[in-house]
Amino acid sequence: MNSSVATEVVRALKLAVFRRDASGRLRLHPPVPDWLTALWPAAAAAGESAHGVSPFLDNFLIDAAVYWESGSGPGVGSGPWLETDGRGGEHHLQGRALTSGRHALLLVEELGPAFDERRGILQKAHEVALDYERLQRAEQALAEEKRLLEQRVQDRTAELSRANLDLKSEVATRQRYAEQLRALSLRLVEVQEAERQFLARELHDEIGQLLTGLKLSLEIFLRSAPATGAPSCLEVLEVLDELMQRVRQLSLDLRPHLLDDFGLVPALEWHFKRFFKQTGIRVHFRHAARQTPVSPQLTTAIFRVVQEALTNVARHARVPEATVRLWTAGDWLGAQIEDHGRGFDPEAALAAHASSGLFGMKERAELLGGQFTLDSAPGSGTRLTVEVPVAGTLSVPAALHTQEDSP
Amino acid sequence: MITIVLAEDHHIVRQGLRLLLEAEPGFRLVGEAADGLEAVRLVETLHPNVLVLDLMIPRLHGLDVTRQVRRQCPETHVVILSMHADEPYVMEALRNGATGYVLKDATGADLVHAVKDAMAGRRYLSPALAERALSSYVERPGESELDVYETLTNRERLVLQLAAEGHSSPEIAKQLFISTRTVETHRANFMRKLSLHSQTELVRFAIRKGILSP
Ligand SMILES: Nc1ncnc2c1ncn2[C@@H]1O[C@H](COP(=O)(O)OP(=O)(O)OP(=O)(O)O)[C@@H](O)[C@H]1O
Ligand SMILES: [Mg+2]
Repeated sequence: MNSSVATEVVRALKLAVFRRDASGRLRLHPPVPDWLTALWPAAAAAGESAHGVSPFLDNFLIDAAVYWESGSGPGVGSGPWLETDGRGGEHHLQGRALTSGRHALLLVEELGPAFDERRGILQKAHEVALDYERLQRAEQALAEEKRLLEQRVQDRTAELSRANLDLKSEVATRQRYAEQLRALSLRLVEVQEAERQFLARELHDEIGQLLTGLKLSLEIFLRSAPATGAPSCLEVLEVLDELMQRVRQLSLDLRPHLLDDFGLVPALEWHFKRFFKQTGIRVHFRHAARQTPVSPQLTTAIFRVVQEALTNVARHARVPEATVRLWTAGDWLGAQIEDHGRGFDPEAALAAHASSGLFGMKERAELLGGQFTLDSAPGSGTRLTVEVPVAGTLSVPAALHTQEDSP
Repeated sequence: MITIVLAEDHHIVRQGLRLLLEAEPGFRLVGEAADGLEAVRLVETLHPNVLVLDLMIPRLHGLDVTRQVRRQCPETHVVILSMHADEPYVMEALRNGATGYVLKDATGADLVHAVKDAMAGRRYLSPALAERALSSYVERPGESELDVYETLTNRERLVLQLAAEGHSSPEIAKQLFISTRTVETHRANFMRKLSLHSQTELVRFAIRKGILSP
């Protein structure tokens, strides 16, 4: 190799080259790099041996000596180390023991910027590693968060399904209550009706009979009474007549006995006559010629609905007449009350809940599994239709016996 | 002399009636019964001219008593005593063979009349009843038969119209903003009321009614 070229290369690489002489000393070979002058000024000036300038290097030289002695292999490296010069400058160095031909050489290189760069890379790597750790920790935290969230969702779901179960049982309970209420309402209507029936009969048969007996006795007494007592006795008779009339009306108001004795059609006809007398409203009654016998319960319900609806006609419709229709179709009994009066908004009236009439009719029909339809509009009259199934126990109304009875 | 059996369950009323009938010259009370069965038995053994009978008597209804008496002792006339002034009661009593019908709150003179008329085979009703029968005859407007179409509700009429025009239930449902099931319910309702069983019958009905032009 051209010696000057080699020198230039050594200079450019900022290498310090030591050659080992026969006595084992390591002597500095020019050119001397600047870093060495700064670091070990004494060694640089005197071309002194590499021994004794740096404890790290000394340590390495022990290994290097072993290598040189054996004289084989590609050489050994020291690995990088750090020295600080007298002015506080830092020098990253790396040594390598070589053999070149017969010469044993020690090269010491200043790693300089290249090393810094590597360190930078290492630093980066380290930071990346740190970041990775952070990332991992974050991920873990996230996973934990997710797990907690899932737990919460699970808890909430359990809560919800518990609530759902509660709700379901609540609904069932309410349904049961509704059914009980329905049964109770039905029972209430029945009890009320039975009570009315009892009172009507009691008034009519018992009290009425007593008054009749009283009247008869008075009449007989009058025949043989002294003339002086007669006028006041006649007065008493008048009062008695009045009383009997009142009792009869009261009984009929409670429940018309025709309903129990003859059924719906005669009872309705009777009612229409009475209604006409009381209100001046004529009722046109249209009904199919034949009526299938229905239970007293249904008979009563239909009678009450017609009664209530006609009361409404008298109170609200402002008409001189109304039509009532009664029919059976299949297993259904229907009644309809129609007037061509003022009319009204049925939805508003039913929603208002302020009145009991319409609502009572609707409830009565629905309790019996029937339908209640209200067709009305302001200015165009009212048509109220009630239809109830005749199903279930069909008992013939307690009508009076007829001639068909067997002897 | 008119022989009479009195059947009345109310003690006080019976007592009053007894006094009344006994006080009447030419009347002779031959027996008293407190229930229907006893009344029939007494009539069969005593064969009175007249049975004065409470309509609402226990153990065999007054109407049954009347029927049995008329069948077994045709010579005994029945005068009914009743609290009820309503036509169906009177009609039933007369149909079952009673000759007279007297209201309990009428005067005693009324009953005496009735017994005398019955004896002569004449029908007798308390004056109040006779008036009532007349007025009810006058009052009764010319009752016409039920037109079943009129019993339909508004909704049913609407559905009928559309169905007769040939619309399907889902089409009708869409038009009326109700469910197909509700349409079917309305349809079943009016078909039942009108006793219609097929679309053909429905169309024929609608044409007859003038709902649909032929
Ligand atoms: N045939 C009718 N014509 C006109 N308006 C009516 C008719 N029927 C009901 N209405 C209206 O509907 C309302 C509710 O009727 P509903 O029978 O429920 O109550 P009400 O008659 O006022 O009182 P009540 O509870 O004593 O019956 C009435 O106040 C009236 O305005
Ligand atoms: Mg009302």
